[in-house]
Amino acid sequence: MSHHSFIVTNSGPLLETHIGISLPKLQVMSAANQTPPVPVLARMLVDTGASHTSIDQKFVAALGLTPTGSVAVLTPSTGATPHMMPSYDVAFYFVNGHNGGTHTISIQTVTACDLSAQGIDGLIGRDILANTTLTCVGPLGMYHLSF
Amino acid sequence: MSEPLETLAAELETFNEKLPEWQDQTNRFVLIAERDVLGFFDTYADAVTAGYKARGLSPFLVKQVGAFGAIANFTRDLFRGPCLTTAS
Repeated sequence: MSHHSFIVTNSGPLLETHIGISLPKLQVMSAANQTPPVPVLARMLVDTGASHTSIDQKFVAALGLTPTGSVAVLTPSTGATPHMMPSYDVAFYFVNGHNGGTHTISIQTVTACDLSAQGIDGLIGRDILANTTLTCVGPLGMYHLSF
Repeated sequence: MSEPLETLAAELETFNEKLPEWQDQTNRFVLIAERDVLGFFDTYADAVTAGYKARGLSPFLVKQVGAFGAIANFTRDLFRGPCLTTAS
């Protein structure tokens, strides 16, 4: 397992990760002798209020992502009428675990939105958290995440 | 339809047209390219992998069939709009 412990900041439980194109897309690009984009560092918020994982839209351009799906999204501002958003397939690389471990998610669906004003690059939602153990130690201002 | 989704317009139209026929495929992931339904898969990863194998870097759509999980909920607002508060 890969274990990660971090301080809960004023912005919440943040986690640095690298985001890249998904493994099957990487294989297709390599087979076509195309240079795949280098994974980019992202500061993600662990968000139990998000059912799905989302990334800032700047990564869509940075990674040359094209939509491979669509998802109906409900937020406080949408009311009961979902907003249709494109979804993209990406890979996540969680590095610097306690034991030096790296955890890779080779295919993960994400939506993309403008999070620039919120000081974060994305939300780690419950679709990823469903495969982790998440512990918040409030009095110590820390949280632990194990894959 | 948002601009990125315009590249999948034919696939989304096919999905919406065929959806009523797929009651026996609920919760599975359908793979569509243009007007062709290429298959149903148990996991998102399997469907995306099959999509790249079949289509390379050409557009394809992977979408879960009629599932509760197809709607994403966010308690945080993801869309920028006019500020609803008044500066004091």
